[in-house]
Amino acid sequence: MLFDYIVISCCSRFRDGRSISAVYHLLKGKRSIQTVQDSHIYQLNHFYGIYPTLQKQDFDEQIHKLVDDSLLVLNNDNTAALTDSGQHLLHRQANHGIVHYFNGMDYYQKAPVFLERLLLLIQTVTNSAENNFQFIPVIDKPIITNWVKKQYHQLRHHQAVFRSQLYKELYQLLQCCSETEANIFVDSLSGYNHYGMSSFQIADSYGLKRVDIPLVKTAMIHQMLSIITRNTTAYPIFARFFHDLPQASGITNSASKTKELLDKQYSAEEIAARRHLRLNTIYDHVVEIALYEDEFPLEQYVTTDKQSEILAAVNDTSSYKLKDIKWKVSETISYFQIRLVLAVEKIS
Amino acid sequence: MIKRKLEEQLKSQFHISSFRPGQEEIIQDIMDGHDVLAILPTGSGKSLCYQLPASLSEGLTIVVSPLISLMEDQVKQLKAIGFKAVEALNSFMDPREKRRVLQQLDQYKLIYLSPEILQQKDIIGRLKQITVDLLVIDEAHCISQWGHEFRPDYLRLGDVLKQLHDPAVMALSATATKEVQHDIIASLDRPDIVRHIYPMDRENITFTVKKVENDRQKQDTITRLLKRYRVPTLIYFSSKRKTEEVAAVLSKHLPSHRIAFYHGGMDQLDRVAIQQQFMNDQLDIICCTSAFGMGINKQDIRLVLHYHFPLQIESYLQEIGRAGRDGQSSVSLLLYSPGDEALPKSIIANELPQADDADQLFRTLYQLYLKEPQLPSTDKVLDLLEVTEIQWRFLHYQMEKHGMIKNNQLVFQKQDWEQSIREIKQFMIARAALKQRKLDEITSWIHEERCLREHLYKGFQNNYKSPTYACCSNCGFSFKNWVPEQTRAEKTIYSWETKLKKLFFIGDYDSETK
Ligand SMILES: Nc1ncnc2c1ncn2[C@@H]1O[C@H](COP(=O)(O)OP(=O)(O)OP(=O)(O)O)[C@@H](O)[C@H]1O
Ligand SMILES: [Mg+2]
Ligand SMILES: [Zn+2]
Repeated sequence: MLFDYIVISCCSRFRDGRSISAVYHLLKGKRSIQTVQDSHIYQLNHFYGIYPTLQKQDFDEQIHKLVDDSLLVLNNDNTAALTDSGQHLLHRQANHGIVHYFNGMDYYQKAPVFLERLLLLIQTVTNSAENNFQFIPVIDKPIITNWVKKQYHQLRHHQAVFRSQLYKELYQLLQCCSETEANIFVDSLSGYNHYGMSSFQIADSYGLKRVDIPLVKTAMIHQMLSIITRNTTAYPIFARFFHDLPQASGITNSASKTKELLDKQYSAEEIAARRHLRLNTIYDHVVEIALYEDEFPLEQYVTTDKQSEILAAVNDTSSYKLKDIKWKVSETISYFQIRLVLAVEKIS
Repeated sequence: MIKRKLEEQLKSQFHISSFRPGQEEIIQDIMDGHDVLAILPTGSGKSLCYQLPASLSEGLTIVVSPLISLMEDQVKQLKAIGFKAVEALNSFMDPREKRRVLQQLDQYKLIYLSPEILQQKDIIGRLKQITVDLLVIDEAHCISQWGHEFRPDYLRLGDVLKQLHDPAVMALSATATKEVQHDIIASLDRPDIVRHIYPMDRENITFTVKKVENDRQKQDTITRLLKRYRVPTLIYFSSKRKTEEVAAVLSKHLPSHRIAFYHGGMDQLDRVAIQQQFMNDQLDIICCTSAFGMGINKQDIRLVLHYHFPLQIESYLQEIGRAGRDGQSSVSLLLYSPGDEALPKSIIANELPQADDADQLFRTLYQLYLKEPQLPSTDKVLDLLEVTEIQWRFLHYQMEKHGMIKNNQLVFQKQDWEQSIREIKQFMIARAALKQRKLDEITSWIHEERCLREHLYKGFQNNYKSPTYACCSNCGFSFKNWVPEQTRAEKTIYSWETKLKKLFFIGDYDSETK
């Protein structure tokens, strides 16, 4: 249900401006300028990167179901439109509490790390409470295990206190969720001689769809992260989780190299030549940088006159299809310039 | 002296007080630098035979293992007992992680890897730079059983050995006929290998076969049986879909049992969860394909059922080998209904290209060659030739062997091709016949009216130990007299608050107040 609702609301925002695979990239959190820009322009930042483990095959299957159930229709150009029952579902579920937990653009990198640290930490402290150090870890990624080890070493002399504090904080956070959500979350935790339920077991026991389970967990983590951020003093242990969480790094690696050179006053053409990249690639980088920079020097690329011309065309078309906009403005304005203006204005 | 050292290490590193039959002799031979072929029953402790020498050795031991889940499991278990210089390399792992392991390779004592990954240039190149003391081939029957079509890279292990400057070899299996033992030795090219062949019959397992009319009756039989027995149970299937289907049916009819399914199509996290829950007694029954099992080491599995029968006796022995590792009475029940042969037949057909189609296949390949000798992507080839991936792997290996493919380029020479095609066709026919023979073997065992135990093991050894408990359904076993210890676990539903408290040992569950 949750998955369907999210897909449908993405489609309703995209209307016929983007193909259905743009929804997939958005949910996966694809680090491409197109996807990041889509998420800004269409005001879908809260859904960006909320389903990193989503498989294309499963996505396609769900879309087909939506089409079969007459909630969506797929057009020839692979864009999707809502049917009347699709619209209906959208309005009926608009107040679906859990949807409001999502804050993808801020948390898409932090949430998985936070969850994995939590899972392994709980397994570690509960096992060590029973003096069992020979358990098979639920998470075995070195970055996570090293972090948990470090925490554990610092706290090993106050274990009992630490464990009950961790319990207390988690309990408080779960109280902010619905009964079912809390149950799902607790069922997926592993501890001493106890291994948490897998997604499909949870789906079976709560009568939910399998695709929804990772979304429910992610939503809850987003909710937890925002509660903790608002009140770090009430959550001393979880506040530690924040210390070295990955920062929402914003731009991609390649774009940040371009930015270095731009800062040294190289032109886009010079950078392309230097880096043996196509000019269009460098333009993509510039647009990406513009999205994240608060003080992007737009005038260097687009005169103020042209800026207003583009903005007027955007209002006029009320679509964000580059082609439509390009058609309305004078010929000397390039696609690059249009995209740049959209990026800087974070237009919606 | 040496003996004392081995025993010390056994206690301090592995927390085991004494060797089991065969282990010490095998380890001695390996420590003396001999090659070893060891056939020991399922659950007898073959892993220890290389883990102990590896933990004492200066150089690296590499273990070739057929299943990723099996490797990861072993690595986790070793790390859990504090043997940390261990890692698994497989084709699915994160490239960064793989690079990290490769860079620090000299710091490891034991590396598990798949035969496929041993074919990668960077891996072999890196292994050549350091000393590999010992190469272990676990489940070595794969060299013969699967090697020819399913996993051609198993056949290339002999070559790998040469590239690694001929380290000592240990080949391990629980199910290798004389023929297969021969195959193993020949393909490794180690005729002087020291053989430690032990009888592999399992005296605490009772064999039963039940014939029913149809699927429906299979499910009824299982439901009735499991209503009476709540014991750790595996049910084997040859189809992924069926594991899910029957798990759902059983959950409906056995509401007090905790039931799950397991197959290779599930994602890694889900598979680990199910396996660990089963190990922790949080689950009673698992409906699974052969992806579950190998290396699973739960002590008290009491019942192993077969909803579908496997393609050959070897696989059956592997699967029932999960039962009764603690030596207690355990039962294998194979369910048969008329027409069950169709499924294994179609699986076999999927594995091998038909000799009849061969001419057409090679004609298409020749046309491909005329256009462009470089082979296109695997997906394209499969499309073009209309073969399955397994069939293509077989063909590719055969063509490489006959010099028709070199470096992924088609090489054409008219006379050679004609000759090679004749040989490959011959070989296909021979393989298909062998598989059919294996299938006939197991079906005739199913229909055997005399002692099932005697006829099960006859292809492997001349004798078998007398059974500790009941022998088989043809020697008078009846479930009426079988009274294994039952699992007591309640299935109470708690609120999330209580569950959380239990997890953290808070309040009533606080262990510190004990
Ligand atoms: N000498 C020993 N004493 C007690 N336990 C042992 C001994 N050697 C091995 N074990 C234990 O026996 C169990 C089975 O061992 P292992 O997994 O190596 O079996 P295996 O022979 O490889 O079986 P399979 O053919 O099914 O893979 C393990 O739990 C192992 O720790
Ligand atoms: Mg083994
Ligand atoms: Zn008998």
